[in-house]
Formats: sequence, C-alpha cells, structure tokens
Amino acid sequence: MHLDPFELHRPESVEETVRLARDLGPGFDYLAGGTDLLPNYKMHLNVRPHLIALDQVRELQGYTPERIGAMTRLANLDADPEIARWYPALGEAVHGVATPLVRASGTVGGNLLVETRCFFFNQSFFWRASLGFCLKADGDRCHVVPQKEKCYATFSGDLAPALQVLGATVEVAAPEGNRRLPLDELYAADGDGIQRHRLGPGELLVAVHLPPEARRVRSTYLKLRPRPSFDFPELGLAAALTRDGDRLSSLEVAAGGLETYPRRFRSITEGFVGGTFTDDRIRELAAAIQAAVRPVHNTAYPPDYRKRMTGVFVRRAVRALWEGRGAS
Amino acid sequence: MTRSDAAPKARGGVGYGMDLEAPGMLWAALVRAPVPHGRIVRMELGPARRMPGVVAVVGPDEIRTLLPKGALEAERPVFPLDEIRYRGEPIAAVAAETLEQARHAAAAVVPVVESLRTDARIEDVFPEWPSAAAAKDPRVVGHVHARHGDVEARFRSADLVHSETYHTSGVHQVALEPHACLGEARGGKFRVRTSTQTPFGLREDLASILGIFESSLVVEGTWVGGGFGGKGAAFLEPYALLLAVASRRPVKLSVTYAEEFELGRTTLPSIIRLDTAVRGGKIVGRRVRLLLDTGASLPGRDFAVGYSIGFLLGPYRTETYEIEGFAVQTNKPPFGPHRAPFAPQSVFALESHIDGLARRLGVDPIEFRLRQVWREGDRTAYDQPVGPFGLEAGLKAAARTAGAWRTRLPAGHGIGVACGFWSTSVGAGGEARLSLRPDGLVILQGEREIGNGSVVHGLAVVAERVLGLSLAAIRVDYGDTATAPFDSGVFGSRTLGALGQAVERGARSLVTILAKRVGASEIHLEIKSGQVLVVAGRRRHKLVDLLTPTERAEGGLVVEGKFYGPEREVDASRVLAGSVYPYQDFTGAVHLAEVEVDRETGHLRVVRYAAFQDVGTAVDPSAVQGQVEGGVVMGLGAALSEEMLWTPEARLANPGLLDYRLPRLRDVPPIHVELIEGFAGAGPFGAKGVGEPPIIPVPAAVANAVADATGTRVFEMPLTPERVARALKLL
Repeated sequence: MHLDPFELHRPESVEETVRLARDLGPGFDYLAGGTDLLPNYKMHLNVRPHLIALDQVRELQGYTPERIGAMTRLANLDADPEIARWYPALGEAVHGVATPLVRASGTVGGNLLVETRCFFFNQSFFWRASLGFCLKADGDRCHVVPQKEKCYATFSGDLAPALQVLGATVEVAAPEGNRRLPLDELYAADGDGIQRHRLGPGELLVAVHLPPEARRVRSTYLKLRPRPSFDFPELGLAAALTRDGDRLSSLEVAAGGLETYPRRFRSITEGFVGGTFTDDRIRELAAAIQAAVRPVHNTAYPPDYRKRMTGVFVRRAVRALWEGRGAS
Repeated sequence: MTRSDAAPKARGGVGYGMDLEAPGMLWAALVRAPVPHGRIVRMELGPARRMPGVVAVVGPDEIRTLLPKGALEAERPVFPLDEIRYRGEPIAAVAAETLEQARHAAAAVVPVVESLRTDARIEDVFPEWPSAAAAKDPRVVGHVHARHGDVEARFRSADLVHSETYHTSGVHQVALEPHACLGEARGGKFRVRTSTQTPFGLREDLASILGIFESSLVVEGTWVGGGFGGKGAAFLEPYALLLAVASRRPVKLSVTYAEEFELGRTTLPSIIRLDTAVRGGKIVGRRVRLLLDTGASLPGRDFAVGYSIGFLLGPYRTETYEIEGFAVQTNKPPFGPHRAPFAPQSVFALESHIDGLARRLGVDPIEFRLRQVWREGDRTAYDQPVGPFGLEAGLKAAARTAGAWRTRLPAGHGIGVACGFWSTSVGAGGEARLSLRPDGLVILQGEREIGNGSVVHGLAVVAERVLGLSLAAIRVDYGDTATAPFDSGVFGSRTLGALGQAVERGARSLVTILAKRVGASEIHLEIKSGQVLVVAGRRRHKLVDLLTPTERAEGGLVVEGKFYGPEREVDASRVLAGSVYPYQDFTGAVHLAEVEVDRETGHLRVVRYAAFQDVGTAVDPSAVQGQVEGGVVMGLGAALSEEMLWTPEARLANPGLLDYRLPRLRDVPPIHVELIEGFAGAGPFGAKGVGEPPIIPVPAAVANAVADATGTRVFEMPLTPERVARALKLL
C-alpha cells in the first residue's frame, strides 16, 4: 500500500490553521495522530491533496481536568491516574482504544472525529471497484441498505459516548471566532455516515471541556469487541448516574459503534430520573434502549447480536454504577 | 541455546523479499479479475503499455509469444486461458520503473468480462448432501470412499448412535511477510529469488508452468518471512519471470496483505457429518462424511479428502467404518496447505463429537478416550501397524492436570480436552553435504531458514550430537537449487526428521572415515584454538594432519548424507474410490483448555492452557517448547476469532489484518507445555517432528471447554461470541 502525494502544512496557531483551512477550501484534511487517516489514504479513501498537520498548533496541546486539548495524545490520558479517578468512563474509554502503539499517536480530537466505518468502505481500491464503489467514496449507492440517499457507516470512536454522559462541551474555532457547543451537537443526529460531524468549512475542534458535575457522577464505559487487545467498538456503552439513597437523581446513557453517530438516550433516561430505582426499573431501561437502537450489518458482529448486547451492557453498566461498583 | 540466525535477524541484518534488489530492476503489479467466474471477452493492454514508466505488460497472449509451447499446456498456465475461476485471479501483469507506475498501469487495464454462474459455497454446488453419483459432477475435484467391516450391522445392533454435523471456516497462514519475489531471465536461463519453504518443489512447479527444463531455472530462498504452508507452490514467481522475459530486466513483484488474502492458497470451509455407533460403552462403528471446499482447484485433488479423512478417523481403534468425502470446486481462490493441513478442522469435528458422546454416555471424556486410543501395535483403519505412540501417556498426564484444575474451578468456567493426531512427512527425502574443515564443520543444504529454527539450529544440533563438536564450530550453509543438494522442503514437520537424518548419516560417515584413519573404533571431535581435533581415547589428532592432499586442496573432508524414507502401505482392499494416505509415523498432542464463558454475551476467555505433546525425543527442548507455544497461539486464533468471511458473491469480506483477527499477545493465556518423550519417532535420536501437532487440538479443546461450562455444544468454528450466543439461545 502506498500513499498518493499530498502537500503537508504545519501551522502553529489556531488562527493560522483556520485561515489556511479557509484558503484551501474543501481540498484538505486535518492530520492529528494519523492512525486512522493515513491507513484510509493508503486505501485511497477520499484522499485530499492537502493535509494540515495539527501537531504544532499551540492551543490544541496539553490538558487540565477541566479542559482537554484536542491534540492530547490518548496515551497521556491513559497514563494519568487522576483522569481515571475523576472520570472513570473517560479513563475506561481511553484505555480501550486500539493498542498502546495507536494510543501513543492517537489524539482526543482524532477519536471524537474519527471516520465512520463500514465493511464496504474500509477496503482496498480493487475490492471497492469490483462493487462499483459506494456512497461514501467514489460511488453512488449504499450496499448495506441498498439505496442511493443515505450512508450507514458506523461511528466507531470510543471517547464520544463517555464524554457525552459526562456532559462535555467542545470548543470550536472558526474564521469568525471561537464557539462552544454541547458534544451531542457536534454530531449529526439525522444520521448520515458521510457527514460525520457538524463542523462548518474550515472549523477546527480545539478542546473538550468537562463541567464540575462530571466529577460528582458515577460513570463507566463498556466496550464490545472481538479481541480485548484491539478492535474498534462493536458497541461502546457509556453510563453515568448519581444516587441519592434509593432515588436516582441523574442518569445518562450513550452508545457508539451502533449507528452513524454516538447517540445519547436522554429521551429514555429522563423518564427514570427522580424516582426510586430498582432492578426491574434497570431492566425496563435496558429494554427501552435496546429497542431504540438500529445497528446495521456493516461491522464484525451482526445487528441482532449488537442490539441484544446493548440491553445486556446497559443493564450491567447501570446496575454496577447504582450498586457503586465497577462494571468491567 | 542461541540460534546462529538470531542476531542478524534481530538486528535487521537480513532482508525481506520486499528488500530484494538487482541492477536495472523493474517493479511489477498484477491486473486481477473483477468477477469470481467468467470469461474475458476483451482486454486491451495497449493503453497500459503507453503509460509513463511502463516497460512491459503481459497477458494470456504473451504465454504463447514469449514462452515455450509447454507453457500453454501447463495444468495451470501463468494466466487463465479460458475461464476466470475466482475473484482477484491475476489475468495480466505490468512491469514499470516504479511501483506506483506499475500499480497505476495495472489499474488502467479494464477487461470486458462475461460473468458466469458463481458457486460461492459448498451449498451452492450441493444444496443437499451428495450421493456417490456426485463423484461424476465436474465440480467434484476429489472423491474418496473407503470402508471396512459390516458397518450396517454394527449400527443396527448399537446401544446408541451419536450423529452430528460440523461446519468449519477458512483460516489464513498470515506469515509475517506476504509473498514477494524477484525474477530474472537472460538467454533462456531463469533465476528467481523468493521466500519459499520448498525451493526444489518450486523449481519443478515453475518449470512446468513456464514450459522450460528445471535445469534452466535456479530458485534461491530469502531469509525471513515465515510460511506455515503458504509458501510452497508457485505463487507470484510465474508473473515476475514472464515479465522478466518480456522486459529483459529483473522484475520484483510483491503484494499487499489484501492481495495476499485474496490470492488464497489456504484452508477453506468444510462440512463434516459424523455418526458413531456404540455398544457396551465402546465405539463399534463409524460413519464419516465430508465435503471440502477446495476453491478454484483443478481435478485430481483426492489428496485433500484423503488427508482430511485420515484425521477424521482419528487415533482411535475403529472396528468398522465407512468414510466418504468430496472435494468441491467453488469460485473461491484455490485452497492450499496451512500448518497441519486439514487437521485442526477435522479434529475440531471429531474431538467435539467424541467429547459429546462421552458426556452422553456419562463417562469422563479423558477416560472415554483412553478406552479407544491407539497403543503401539494396534492397527489403523487402513491396517497399518501403529508405531510408538504417546497419546495414552498424554491423556494420563492431562488427566492429572485437569484434576488439579478442577479442584478450584470457578463457576462459569469449563475444562475441555482434545487429542490431536498427526503423521509427519518424514518419508520425503533429502540430502546434505557435510564439509569437515580444519576449523569446523559446514553443512550445505537447500533450505533457507525462514522461521522455525529447524534448519540453522536443528541440523546443527544433530551434527553436534553425532560428532561431539560444539555448536560454535558448526555452520549450516545454504545453497540455491543449482549448488545445494536436493531436499524436499520445509513442510509436514519433516525438516529435523528427514533432512536431519541426512545430516546424521553424513556425520556418521565422517566418524567412520576418521576412525579408520586414526585406527580407532570410536572417535569424537573437539575444537581447540580454532582447530578441529579428532579424539580417539587419549589420543588427539589435528584434523588437518589427517586430510589427503586433495581434501586439503578442497578445503576439507566432504561427504554426502542422504535420507529417503521407506514407502508405507495401506490395505488397498478397504479403499473403494480415490486414495487414502499411509501414516508415516505416529505423533500427536493432548490439550487442555480452561475457558470462562460469559453466559450473557457468549464471549469466551481462555483462562489457561496446557499442551502435552509426544515429541519422541526433544533434541532441543527450548526450541520444541517454542514450537508448541506458537502452535497453540495459532490454534487459539482459529478457535476464537480467525475466519475468512465470504459473501454470497464469493467476495472475501475481510482481506486485511484489522478484520481478520489474529490473537495479539494480550489475548493469549498462560500456556503450560509438557513434552512426552520415550515413544521413539523416525527422526534422529528418536525425534518426532513437532511443528504441526500443537495447532491441531486447539479449536476442539476450546469447544469442549465451552460444553463443559455450559452444557451446550457449538458446532461451528471459530467460536465467535455470536455463535456461542446462538448456541446458548441468547439470540
């Protein structure tokens, strides 16, 4: 496999980066850790002529417990016991990403904006050509759900659901200035696997912010995958709750690896907050979320299995948090 | 002990096939068929020829114009002359100044193809289990039928008949390096450097494909990369050599791992039906039926069925049996050997079946196996006498370990046992040239060490043992097919057993010659201050003083060691169709797996593992242990997560190492290895080949542990969480 030629840019500030991005128009990709982008380029997947490397951009580096720069390497978070102590879901999600080697390069921003994945997309040029390509790259139809409108590629980052249940917001830079938005709104909930985020042209993810409440909730992240040592999530289930005696005073559940975006189940979970929480209620919650998810057949495990496991994982995660013990 | 190739390999001092270079070298790329079955209506090569940097483009026409007539009559010509038989089959090739130019030009060749009906799976060819008449179907490329005794009567009078059907998937060798080679052709002489397990076999294969004499072709191996069965027959070499003829320049051809997967030559799926009749707690009759997917193979593949059937009857006394198997042609890439070809899949079915039968009878699975397992002197299903055989000892050792494990077995865990039986290819002949020089011994032979150590280390250890000379004074050298003596190759766990015997015989003749020269009945060699000494009792002679003037001029005393194994025979009256294969020797392993089953997800965790292997004599115990551990890890991949996934259109869905899931180190449990010695094998000092047996019982041991933990059997391998979940009725 070889890379097609591209021009590499290495800006040093956010301002310079977004200006460059605006000038280059649509013909570029941001290069963070490169652990996903470069393998995709080697397969000639949506290759662009320009790459803007972010490793020299000052404002993206470094982290505090409240603000995590987008270029923070996953290995740095993984090695920090304070992250695991304050935000167990985040610590578990980071630790579950790929392998030590990938975590050494991979970044927080890169994982949040990782390309969606699909059996029919993550393949060699020869392979895709023999099928007439697909909606997501070089073609005009989807092979997962045969039609020509919507791409069903699966969101496969680990950090997003964990940060969603912790109530994270993201800081985005644009030529017009910075803006903040809830992490949920970074993703397109109308569900297309091609437009995997809602950043505008030239916008840049700068940092993730965690609110003070995130340290007060109990949280966990459970990952379903073939090999414990590797592999993208077939389901990445994050949950966070606070318990007040027998009363559930807050509850958030989010999942990745199932649909085109990391999905928070607030419309389901809010119905459980405020009341007493019992094993039956946990089962109801699990059944409701299981019924709501719509995986398709484009990853290693078939949809019926991933759907069924969603219920199991919700039950395990929430029960463990409710009982005050680790789920994994 | 230190292997002589360890330091240069660890330091990167030896090149991969991808590193091969020659002055004026071109890079090559393949044009591959876009459909799994079809005919090429038109293929324009002209436009690709005119692309930047392109020096040669060859397709089916160039077989006719550039090669001798025999190339058109080859069993499998360089490119298909009539039908495309699998998706990705090479149909043309390009050589250019750079790899990028070659790949671009290859992509610019767009053939017009007429598609034909695709048989992606065995079930597409035979929706129902075939009758004997199916042997005449053109898609049956191998058929074997054998029987012994009044099977029907035994089944009629049985207390119990246990009947099951098993499905297995294809697994890939995943050698460290995908195939790569460099071909040269000049004045009717051909030379190819390539990573290969069988230089001489490859030379024969290539000569027939190119329509040339073997003497016109030299094959030279490369140093690294591993094979596991995948580097025997011709693979990329014919394309590189044809391009070298066309371009008159050296041509290098390598493939990506996606291409490596899609070119196949590995294990493909099988369906196995087993019926076993039991009377009085003993097996009295067996019926074995097998359908083997052999992909786009040509007729004459009886051996695939014959080999599989050998392992399906197993290392058990079989009073009466009937076996029938079909090799089925599909539009997958052709099948090929993979470490212990056909055995892990066959044994998964057989040992799951035996285990289930024992449980059904309420007998401890190890005890049940002990009732039927071969002992030395038993007769095999083909009426061969069983030689020294350590599986009874292995089962007894395993029973002790299993007992210890069971005393503290957590809830949700199970223990599985499985036997794996193997017959090494120790009969395949080989030769070595031993040159005893004043400063040490040089063993020249034809195999290049690409992995397991049996060549550079194993052969040296054999010479060390015979001569008494220290390893530091022994060097195993390698020659290409023009300079080295003949050898059959590194396969079938034969290297130490067969080539090792050639070295042993050579070393013994050195001893005989030197003993005579010093007038002693016994001698051994020593090295002192860089000088080889011949020691006879208390007398020491410098070797250099014992050499004749001719020998001195030649650099030392040179002898040839040759070993060609005896022919073995089966009782042919039991074989009604096709052929079965005589066992060469008798070896195997007993494995134990402790597995934790997540009963809500179907996920398995192999908690610990133990392997008890009959090795005859461990010539180098640490090297043997390494082979056993490696085999177990490879078997765990096949048991748990490795699987080539084919779509109904015969498209390989996971041609890459992200989606074809090998175990990583963190996925591997602690492995306890126990070597069973004392059952002498056919090799030097009673050694038995050790490379293949350790992969064989693994999938069955894991499946049996799942059955032990849950009471539920999984009839398909690998045991993915989804399959386990379905077996547990979670879905």
